Amino acid sequence: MTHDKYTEWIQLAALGELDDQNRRMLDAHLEACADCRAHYDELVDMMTVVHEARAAAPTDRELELARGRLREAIRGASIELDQHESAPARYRDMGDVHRAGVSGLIGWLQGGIGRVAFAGATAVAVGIVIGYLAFGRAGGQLQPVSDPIDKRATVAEAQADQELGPPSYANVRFVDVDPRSGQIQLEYDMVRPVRLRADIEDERVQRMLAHTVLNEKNPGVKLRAIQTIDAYLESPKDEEVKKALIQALKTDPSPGVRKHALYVLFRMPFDQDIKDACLFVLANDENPGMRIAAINILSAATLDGHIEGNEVYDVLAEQADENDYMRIRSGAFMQEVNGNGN
Amino acid sequence: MSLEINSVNTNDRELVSRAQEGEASAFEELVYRYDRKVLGIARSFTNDPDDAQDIYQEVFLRVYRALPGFRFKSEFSTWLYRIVMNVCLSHKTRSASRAHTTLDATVEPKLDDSGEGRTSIARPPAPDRAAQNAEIRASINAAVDTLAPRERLAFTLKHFEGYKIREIAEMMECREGTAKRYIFTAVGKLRKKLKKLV
Repeated sequence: MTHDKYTEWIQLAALGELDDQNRRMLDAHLEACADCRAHYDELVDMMTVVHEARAAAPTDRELELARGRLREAIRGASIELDQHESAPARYRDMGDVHRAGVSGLIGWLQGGIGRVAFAGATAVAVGIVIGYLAFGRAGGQLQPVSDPIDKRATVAEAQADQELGPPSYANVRFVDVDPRSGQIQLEYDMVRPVRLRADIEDERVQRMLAHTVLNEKNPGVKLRAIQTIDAYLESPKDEEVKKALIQALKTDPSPGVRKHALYVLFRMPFDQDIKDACLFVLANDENPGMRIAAINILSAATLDGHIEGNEVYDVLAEQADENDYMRIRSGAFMQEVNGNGN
Repeated sequence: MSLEINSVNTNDRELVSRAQEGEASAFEELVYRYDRKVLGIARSFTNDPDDAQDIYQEVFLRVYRALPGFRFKSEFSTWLYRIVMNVCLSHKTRSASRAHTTLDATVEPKLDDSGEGRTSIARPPAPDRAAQNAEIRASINAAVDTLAPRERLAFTLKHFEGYKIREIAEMMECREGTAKRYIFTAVGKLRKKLKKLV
């Protein structure tokens, strides 16, 4: 057996990958070879130090944040897919269709105005495409989508809502330009303002409220959406509303938004999802006011028999809350649940 | 902690089929089965929570877009982790310059060729355990960052995430011997850089 082999075994052993039989042979060698013993000890010590320096595992909050962003990104991806699927039909009269129908337009440009510098032709093409799409004849315009989030809305439904003007285009990005074929690939954002008028019970309205709670940047608008849900919605038909409130409760940066979301959720039929959300707040929210609100709600739910006191007790037991009132409230909760035999 | 990525999981197959038919809740459940692990790998690999979030998004968006074409030639988990590998390897960090202190500056400011004059961070001018540990962590992270991407990935999966070499080879789509070589090379490099810490 060469030392090279033992060197490999030492590394495998330090990684926990050496099988038992070879491990016994290695151990016997280590007893006899000081250099190999020192090498092995050094590796093990190094692994220990490196292991202790590892990045902390992701927290529940980080995971919830990632999930929320993914949900938003997938909604965007779904809308994009829907628009592109119907793009060929919209531009059928332009011949061969590329993603934004630009390739046919480029061909027309090159034939109509001769060879120009390609960069200049591209700039003209971009301007013409954007101008055409914004102001061109009705047959060439994209079909309006009244609810950009609800990909199931039909054209008939969309046209029943009031369109407030032509779409606007922004954030044009050049994805690919191929001077040999004359093909250009662009991406752009299209926004068409729409007014939606329907009952609060209408699923499109509920879905829009859920979208606002999750995606709107302005906390005041988010609060307005949550207050609307609270004031007018007896019981959300759309599971998306409850999910949006839970997501906001867990990840929204504004404590005001989180607090309103918590109270609206409490007014809904108490279930496993709402219980888990409250326990999450109790364990993870940095704002003591939120933790106090959560424990008040969980206390009421425990007294009503919706949850076992032990579940809350376990979360409280793991914490060393720095907030004096929270400690007092936790103690009072323990007494409440013990007094009720929970 | 190691994942048995070769085990047949009919529940995954069922969820994938339902997701392919457009059932959003099935896709969501698939994500929830694996996303903590994915985020953990991303976090270990990048050592940066923001970069880890970016990798998470990219991975699952790729899964979302490619799922309709998934033909069960491998287990879903195997396919997913290969996507994770590819995204990790191609990921550009958000910040071009990181705030890591270099190993030489921190650990061996006055090291000469003979190795004498060792200035170990175990003996800072003003003893402070917390600051000391933070410096050790920074030094180790800086050392790991200098590894080649595949070495770093293989080392991360082995040492921080606890996968077997066989599993790492399958995830990285290479032979076991190649995965072993990545890990051994990484360990060797770290051993040289961190000699003074241990």
